[in-house]
Amino acid sequence: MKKEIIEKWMAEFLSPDISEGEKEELKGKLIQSGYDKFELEDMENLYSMLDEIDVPETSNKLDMNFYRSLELYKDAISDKSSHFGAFISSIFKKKYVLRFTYSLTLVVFGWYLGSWSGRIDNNNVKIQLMSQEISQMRQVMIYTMLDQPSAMKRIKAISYADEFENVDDKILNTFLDTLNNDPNPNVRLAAVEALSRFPDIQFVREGLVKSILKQESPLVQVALIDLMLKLKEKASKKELTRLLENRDLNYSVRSKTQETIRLL
Amino acid sequence: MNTDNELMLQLKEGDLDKLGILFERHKKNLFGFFFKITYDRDVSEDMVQEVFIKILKYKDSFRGYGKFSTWMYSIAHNVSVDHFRKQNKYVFSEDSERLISVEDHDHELNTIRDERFDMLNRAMLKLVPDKREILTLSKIDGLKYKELGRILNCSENTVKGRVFRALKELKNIYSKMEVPDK
Repeated sequence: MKKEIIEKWMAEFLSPDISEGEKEELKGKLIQSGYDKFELEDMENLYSMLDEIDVPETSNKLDMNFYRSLELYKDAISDKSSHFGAFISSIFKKKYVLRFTYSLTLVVFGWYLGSWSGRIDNNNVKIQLMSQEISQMRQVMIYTMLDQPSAMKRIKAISYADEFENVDDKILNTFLDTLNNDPNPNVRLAAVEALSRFPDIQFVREGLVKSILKQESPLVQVALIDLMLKLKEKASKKELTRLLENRDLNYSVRSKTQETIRLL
Repeated sequence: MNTDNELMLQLKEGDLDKLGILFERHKKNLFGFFFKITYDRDVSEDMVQEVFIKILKYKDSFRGYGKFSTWMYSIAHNVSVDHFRKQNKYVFSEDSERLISVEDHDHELNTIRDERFDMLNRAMLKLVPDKREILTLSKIDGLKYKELGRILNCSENTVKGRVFRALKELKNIYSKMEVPDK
């Protein structure tokens, strides 16, 4: 018997798309061609086990990255199609002019200081000043972008904080405010992610705990609950217990909350 | 409820939010597909993301004649091929005794308590990626051998032969493994 024919029969025998009758017929053919009945059963059992391989749940990161990319793509499309005049007028809105001028002043001032410090041959001072300017400009940028109507731009604003070695309290408070008040759950998720980098700052930790009861999106609730567990934040047990009092709480969030309270 | 094909056609027309519905419908299965090939959660999530970016990028090439899932898994197959091409340290010859960095995946495997499944996972990891892929694809609900042929760009009979040979090799590896003491 040709090897290819036996391989074809075997694959067909394993397929869930054939009837019982067809299966029996193929089994008979395979046994006739030298296959042992038990060997066939072993193959079939092993093949069935592939359906039951454990696969972990996907993380919030997957959802967040996907929706971020989608928003980014939408923004790129709308930017392309937006009218040039609208673009110009948005540039000249008062707050942009002010912030742009402020940023430009910082750059010019920095450059001046930099060149002055170069004259006294102090490169370290120059570098330090430059990095301060960049940091200040980024902060201005963050505030500006957090005011934007586009969720994608607000997410981008939050992600700028990743580039700071140290983030000042004002920015962290702004992120806490975003976490509690932004209408878009993906932006709030980005805020959780950004704030989770600063667990040693007491007011950030407290703000994250308090935020649990302010969230309605299951995605954000789960992100905060996961974070409480990661930080082993026992102080969150009170909020988590109160969260369980909400009758409309999502089933998965409820189970996760109960499990987290137990583990804490 | 709109079918996947209807959603895809609306996406082509510019209704980008329809991609979100397709993502919610298929992310779990796609993730499962990639996880069973890579045994790495982060990499699998990145690969799912990559598939949806490509769906968006190549949406105009979807004609709507065939099933959306066949088209989507063709993209997933390409993403998988690219991944293993880049990670060629994990791709080995046909030698069944090849070494594979199972240790890298121990943190995932340790969570699987059932010994038989632990053995099965280890046996799967000893297969070359394309054999893991064909076995995983052949177990996806609704994908018949004919559609697998379209995804992998080969004939239905070639698919059948590849499924058989991959399963036979898996069985050989699995049989050689001793069940650890309880």
